[in-house]
Amino acid sequence: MGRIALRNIRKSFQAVDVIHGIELEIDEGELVVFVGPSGCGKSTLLRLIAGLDKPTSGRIEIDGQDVTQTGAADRGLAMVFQSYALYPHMTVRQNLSFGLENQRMPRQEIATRVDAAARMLEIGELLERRPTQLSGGQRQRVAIGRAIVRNPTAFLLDEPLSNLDAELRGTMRAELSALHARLETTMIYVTHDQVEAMTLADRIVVLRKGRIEQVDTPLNLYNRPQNLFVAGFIGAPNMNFFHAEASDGLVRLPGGAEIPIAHEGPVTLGLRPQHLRPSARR
Amino acid sequence: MKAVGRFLFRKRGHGGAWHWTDVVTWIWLILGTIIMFGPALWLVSSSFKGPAQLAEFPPTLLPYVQEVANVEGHDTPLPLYMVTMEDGSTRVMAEIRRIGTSAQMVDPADPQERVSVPLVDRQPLREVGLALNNYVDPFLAFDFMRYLGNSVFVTVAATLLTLLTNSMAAYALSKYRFRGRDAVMLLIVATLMVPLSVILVPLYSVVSSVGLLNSLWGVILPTIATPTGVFLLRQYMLTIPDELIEAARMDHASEWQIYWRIVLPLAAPALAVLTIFSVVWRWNDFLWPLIVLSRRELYTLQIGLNTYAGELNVQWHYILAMTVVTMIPVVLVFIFLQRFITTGIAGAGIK
Amino acid sequence: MARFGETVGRVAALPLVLIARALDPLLRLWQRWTGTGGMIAFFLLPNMAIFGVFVIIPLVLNVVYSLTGGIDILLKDRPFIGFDQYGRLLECQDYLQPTTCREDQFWTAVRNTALFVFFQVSLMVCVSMITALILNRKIAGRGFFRAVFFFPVLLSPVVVGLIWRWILQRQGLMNLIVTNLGFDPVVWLNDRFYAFSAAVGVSTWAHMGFYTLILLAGLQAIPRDLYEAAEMDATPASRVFWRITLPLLGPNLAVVLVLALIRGVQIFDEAYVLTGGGPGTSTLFITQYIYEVGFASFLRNPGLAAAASILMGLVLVVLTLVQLGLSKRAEKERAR
Repeated sequence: MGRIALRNIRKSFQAVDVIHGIELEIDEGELVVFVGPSGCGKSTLLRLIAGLDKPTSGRIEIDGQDVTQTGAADRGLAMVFQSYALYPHMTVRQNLSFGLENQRMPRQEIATRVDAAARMLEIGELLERRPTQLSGGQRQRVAIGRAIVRNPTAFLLDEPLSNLDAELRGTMRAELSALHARLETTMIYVTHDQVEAMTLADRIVVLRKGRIEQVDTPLNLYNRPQNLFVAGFIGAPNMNFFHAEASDGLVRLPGGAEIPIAHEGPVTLGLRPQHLRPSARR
Repeated sequence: MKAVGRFLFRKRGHGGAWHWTDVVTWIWLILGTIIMFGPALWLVSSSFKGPAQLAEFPPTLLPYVQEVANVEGHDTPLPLYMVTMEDGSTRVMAEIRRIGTSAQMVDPADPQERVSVPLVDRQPLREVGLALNNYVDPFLAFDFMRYLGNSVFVTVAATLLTLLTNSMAAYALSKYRFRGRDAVMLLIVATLMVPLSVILVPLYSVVSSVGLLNSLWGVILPTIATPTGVFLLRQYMLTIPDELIEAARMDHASEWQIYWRIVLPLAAPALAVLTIFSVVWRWNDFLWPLIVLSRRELYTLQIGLNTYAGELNVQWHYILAMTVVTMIPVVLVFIFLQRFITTGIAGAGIK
Repeated sequence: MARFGETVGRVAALPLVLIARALDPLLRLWQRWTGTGGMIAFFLLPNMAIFGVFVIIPLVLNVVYSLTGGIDILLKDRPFIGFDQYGRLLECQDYLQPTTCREDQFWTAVRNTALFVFFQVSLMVCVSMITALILNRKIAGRGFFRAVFFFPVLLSPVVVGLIWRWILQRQGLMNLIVTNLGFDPVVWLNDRFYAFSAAVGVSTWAHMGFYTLILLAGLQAIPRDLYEAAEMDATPASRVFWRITLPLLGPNLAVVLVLALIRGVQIFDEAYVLTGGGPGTSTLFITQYIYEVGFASFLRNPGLAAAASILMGLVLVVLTLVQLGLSKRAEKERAR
């Protein structure tokens, strides 16, 4: 439950190609983070998975079934929108129940689920309030709650923390992580903040201009970036780059250090600030 | 091309399926276009038909004019008909006159031979043509030229005055703070509650006592202080930064100059919207001019049209043509300026 | 094209510019004498003077008129008769039966107007609502269709009345369609029921575009991601409308309803040209009654007309106050 596969997904808007041939497999229960600079297509990709937009070509599979032509309503996924998209004229309880009522669930069961989610997210006292009477953090929890009550195959979160202040963001990050551990459901999380990505993800998908740059665990992305972009994107402060020449299997640095390398010609050397240490020697 | 098709027929359904909302949408839009434009188009088409053709039932889609031909030996061109002869063949013949239930007709090529043809055996020969007389006669023979002139005068004068007075009041209400401001605003709002029909009788009496009865100025003056216009302009002027005005004051500009050379030009978009509204309102005014004007030569197009249409024997071919003429300025406004109107209303209408 | 318009504008504005420039020294003097206050008065004066002379004074006079009798239009020639006119208007054995009233025409007009408002406003708001919902969708040529529905709003009531009078002639387009559908031709404007229905229909046709635009603006204020959230929640289209769109559109809709009511009560122009109040008095509405009793008919009675117009004015004041209240609430909702 919760295996998602993207096969050769392409998306164009009018004449502009936004996503170029994405292949991806997400395992059951994984927390996968899509990260990248703005405009890289991460939100678009999320919406394609959700079913809110259709890919121009390619296949989307959920648990082995081709859902490319299925509507968003029938994919069994739940989405937490960046703006939360809470119904302003309904109480929190009504917001949480709305989707379940569409499925003609008996009232008792709806109430049970709503109360369980409210307990999990500690919004039990807010159930009779309206979204406009809630703080940003509270609204965010209601948005998550709305997704939880549906018992979805997977959660899709579109930059859920970007509207919160820094302090709250840290707290919520920890809570989301705990939530994921507890629910054990697949989560696909979109963010532009690589710190969030690094702390939350089981695996990170680094995207740039509609293409996957690398998919790997956070640690591997940090220690074994496959290209310049990933190397420069992951890690704060950023990696420092130098141009150097490699000859005879060695790269010579000013100051005498030599690094063996199986390459000839111009190279770009990357050095993380974390790996620099002050030294007494000249 | 396929992309265009997909764009045009975007549907709520998935995988190219027609959701019921899509069907309803397209039916509604197509039906709506026919119902909204159709009557006006029918008016135009009918206005080009001669009186005889207008009396026909079922009516034809296009205006037709009967073909005529010059026949030797006759001074005026004779109308042509398609005649079914006794032997079953059909011939084109010209009609000289009608006698009872038959017509005296000749073959245009052989004008000497006159044949008597029963009316039922002949069909008028027609081609698409415009009865332009419908448009020309009212201007020449009736007073429609004058009515047109009156309408134009009223519309232009009223619009200019409306723009001037409304913008002055809006300027005072938006850029100055003074003690009676809220009271004035309230007063203007109150006038919104007083439509013409409520003050018809006393307004007539007031206009009469200032001597403006039966004059175009009596039509114009009561209409120029529109609350909608004041609000519209005020709303827009509020967005003009006060710093501009303060800078101008420091440059020794008089208040009048500030209004005239800074605020008014900057308010041009709102003025444009009000111009369009005012032109349409004044051109279309009916009840008030109906009451104020009793001298025929002062009638506006609307009143003149209504008067002729209210006669016992309505000459529809003229009425229809003049209706089209009355419709033209508004159609022009619509074609060229409708975007301003729709955005103007969406903004002001919510207020 | 824009260039040409610009030059024409500039040339046309020239005399105005010269006048304005000439006025400046005079107004500077005025400003020096009277200060800013004087200038404020100057700016307000033309507009407020027109309001005062042509709206406020008549409003006050109207009350006075309604307390006088006789057929003269000039106030000084009219005798004071107190509330007689009102008494006359309101004298009825059975308010629901106009023929039992002393001023049966008045009550006929009131009944006709009430029925008209009920049917026309309901019809028009429904039609406008549906059209606005449809125009809110992402379809090609949205701007075109928006203009299509707005077209009749611009036409003058005389034009509207005449177009439809022509179509509803016994030998007109409408009967052509009707006979082609297999029915008998209808005498539209000479039958009491059909003439009334025609008035309702024509009035709806002529004005729905305006209200469609207002509703459309309200619909567009609803954030799109609410609809997407509803889509993720597998909400069927009808539920989206009743549980999300309609409640959020509520304040806007209320404003539209009241605006339509206010305009509906004042119905005159296009109905008058279409049917002239007939056949008989089946399409006689209150404004026409006031017009005829005040000016046009043989037995005119300006005092009676004034009294009738004041009664109508009271109804309108109530409606307008309701509308202003609802407008304010709509703005507050949006600001939240």
